[in-house]
Amino acid sequence: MNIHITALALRPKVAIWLIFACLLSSQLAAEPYFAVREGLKCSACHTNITGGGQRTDFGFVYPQTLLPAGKSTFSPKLNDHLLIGGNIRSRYGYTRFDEADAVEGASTEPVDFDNTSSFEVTNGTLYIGAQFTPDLLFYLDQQVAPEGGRTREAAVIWKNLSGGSYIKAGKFFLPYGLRLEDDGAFIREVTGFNFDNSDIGLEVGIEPGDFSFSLGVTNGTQGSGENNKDKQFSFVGSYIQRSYRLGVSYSTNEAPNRQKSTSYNVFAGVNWQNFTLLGEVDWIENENGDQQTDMIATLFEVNYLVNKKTNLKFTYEYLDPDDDIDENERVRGSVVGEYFLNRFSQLRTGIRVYDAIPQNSLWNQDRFFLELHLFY
Amino acid sequence: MHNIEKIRAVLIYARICVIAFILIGCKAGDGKGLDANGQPLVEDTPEPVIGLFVQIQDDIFTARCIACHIGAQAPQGLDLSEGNAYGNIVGVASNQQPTLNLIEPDEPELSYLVKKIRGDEDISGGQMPLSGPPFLDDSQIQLVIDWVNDGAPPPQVATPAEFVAELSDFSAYGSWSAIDYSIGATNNALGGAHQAQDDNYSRRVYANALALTATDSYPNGSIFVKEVTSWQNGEREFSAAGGLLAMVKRGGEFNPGNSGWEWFELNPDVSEIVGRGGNLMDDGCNTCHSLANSQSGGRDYVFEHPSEYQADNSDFADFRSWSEIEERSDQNPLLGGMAHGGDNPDSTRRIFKKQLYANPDSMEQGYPIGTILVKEVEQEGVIVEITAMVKRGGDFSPDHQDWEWFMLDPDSLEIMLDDNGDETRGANLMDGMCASCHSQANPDSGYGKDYVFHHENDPFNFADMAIFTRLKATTNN
Repeated sequence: MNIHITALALRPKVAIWLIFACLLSSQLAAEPYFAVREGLKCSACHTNITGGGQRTDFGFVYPQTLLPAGKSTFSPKLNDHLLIGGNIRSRYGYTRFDEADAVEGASTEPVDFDNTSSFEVTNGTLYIGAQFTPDLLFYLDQQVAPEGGRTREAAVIWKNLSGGSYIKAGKFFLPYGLRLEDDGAFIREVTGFNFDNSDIGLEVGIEPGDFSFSLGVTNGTQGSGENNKDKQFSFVGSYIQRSYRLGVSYSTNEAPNRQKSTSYNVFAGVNWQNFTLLGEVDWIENENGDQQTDMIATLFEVNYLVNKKTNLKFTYEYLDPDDDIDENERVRGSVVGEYFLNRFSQLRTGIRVYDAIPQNSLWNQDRFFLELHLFY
Repeated sequence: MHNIEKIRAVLIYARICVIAFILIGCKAGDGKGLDANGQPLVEDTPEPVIGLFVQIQDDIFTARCIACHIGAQAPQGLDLSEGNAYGNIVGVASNQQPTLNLIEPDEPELSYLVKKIRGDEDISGGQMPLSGPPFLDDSQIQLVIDWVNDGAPPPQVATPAEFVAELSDFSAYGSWSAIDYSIGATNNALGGAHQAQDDNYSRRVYANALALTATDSYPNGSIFVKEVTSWQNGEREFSAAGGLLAMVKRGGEFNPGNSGWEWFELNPDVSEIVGRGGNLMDDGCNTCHSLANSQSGGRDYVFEHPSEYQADNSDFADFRSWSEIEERSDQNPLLGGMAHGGDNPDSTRRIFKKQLYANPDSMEQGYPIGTILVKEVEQEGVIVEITAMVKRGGDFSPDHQDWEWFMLDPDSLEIMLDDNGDETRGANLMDGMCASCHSQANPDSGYGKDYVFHHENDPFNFADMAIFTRLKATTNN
């Protein structure tokens, strides 16, 4: 691990626990920053208790309290039993790559990439929620773009059980960490807990008072057919206050051929005046036979609420893809502006800067994007 | 605001700053000593590897895909890391469109992986790599198509003209794949070699990565190492007669009459090569291993691994002379109300183990192939039931650790015959009840190991290690 300040040249695990200790000792107390900013649980705005996807009545009304609706009378609630929803993100992107440095003695040749410029639909999704009883819901999250369709989530959700608990059964995103929109964030990409991966199984949870706990038991094959008798266990627990939240996650999964992945993290969010801060540190252990690769990924995000319509986001991310190899670390920094045109649409633009070993062009790039996000 | 509240607020935000400082204090590596994929530069000359798949692995999978597609949690269950990728894609059905294989040899247009990297209209989900654009360029996609058109062959290793093994070539053998673990005379060709006639000794065979890639004859540099070990006082002990042996495909002009193999005897701690040559053991190695062929099982001087042991009546004839590892008359709740006289409070159950030192010391392999256990049930002085389980090995019953189950005639002690005159034996005897019930004997449940429940006198499958203390005392006396 490479840290600027010599005095803080810590082992990654030490750094995690130092951060965790800092968070605990401070009693500190998605877009997850919305939830943090409002001091709400994910389930306040999302049908899916662990966040993301279709919005609840409250989640739909929430933007109305902040933003003009124009002349629209549109409601996604077709009737008392059927709620629809959707998202589409269209963007223009421009990516510039650094030239790769040649390395003497390397068995692999550095590869250079041409700069790219493209229009893309990065994500188009439709949601359907069929409410059989006030507590029993069928939920479908169907990706329709880009390219072919794909069912991201299809589950039965039974809420308001004993003690405020719930059960979810079917295909769903696993409970783990901060559910950022940006799947390219290191904490989403390398952990595998992102919107490109869901799994089949059962999730149970309970949200007593200021706490929220969810435990998923799934095949552990990320949606592919089961190939062993072992199961993946994923857990996320949060303590939520108006001005801050604190959480931990854990996941373990065994696969055939002596493969095993174990991930754990701590995450937190805090409000301070117009600032909303998010942080997450992940430790991932991948075992393959007698070999083990340990990775560490972090996110630090600052959101500044310029006005009701405008959010400025700054992120800094760090990835050590193999703790046993020195000087292979990667970082990513972003500056993103988000402007709500109205309560159905948002304009986003930003620059993401990737920095890594100089011999890899792909990992040293600057991305500019301009995105129109429609949601309902 | 009161002073205390101010101080508290300052402390809170100071902590936030500390955390932020740590999180943003990390910078990118300078790449010193690493290749373009962030892997350490190899100082020694790497094993020359050839073939299109090797290029695909290096330039595409390792460079672009394994940021996500690695480990037990790889998306779509698709681990594309080196050593795993080939077996996970060739002839394997796609998860997103199961009617298509990820790679269908000779058929790029029916290979879903080709469609995914091209971003065809009929794929599910998005084009890969997920981090694109940039996606793979035309030359990289064409590389995959060319490889598929070639029949999608596995990575091939260029064979050195001659491989002269040194001591260091054996030092890490314990980390290689263990391809066999057996006890007793599991192979007719063994005769008395490798302590095959002594039930106190087990044999474990390891193969290096090069040997595992062989599809026909073994390439030069292939190495197999065989341990012949027993247990004394809880400690593993190598046989004094060839406890650690190896065979190396040397090639070149060496031992041309015996396919270029060189034979080795090593110190058990791999500190010294005790003996080596083309005719080690007075040519006994060559003579015996030349029997490994398609008729006897195996090829190119290497017998078939894992072994397979098919028991017959002679195996059970003298089972009461074996080690009795348990006798119980009490009710055992694990038996339920049916099995082994569990519903009769007057039942006495005796378990015999043929090879007392058969040790399930590896989770993957469990008991060595050839292990035999027999259980007899006595009620009112009469033997009413005899059952047996034999670790058959091979690929006999991969879902149940390759055990075979038997029912024996209490009078003749031979394998019982059913109404059709067939022997009552098999992987799914009693409609699978034997395997199903015994599958509960595993470390997770705490009831046993490798389908064998704990028995108080089985030195390696007992709930605690007290038996070792007792064994030690017996030995000392």
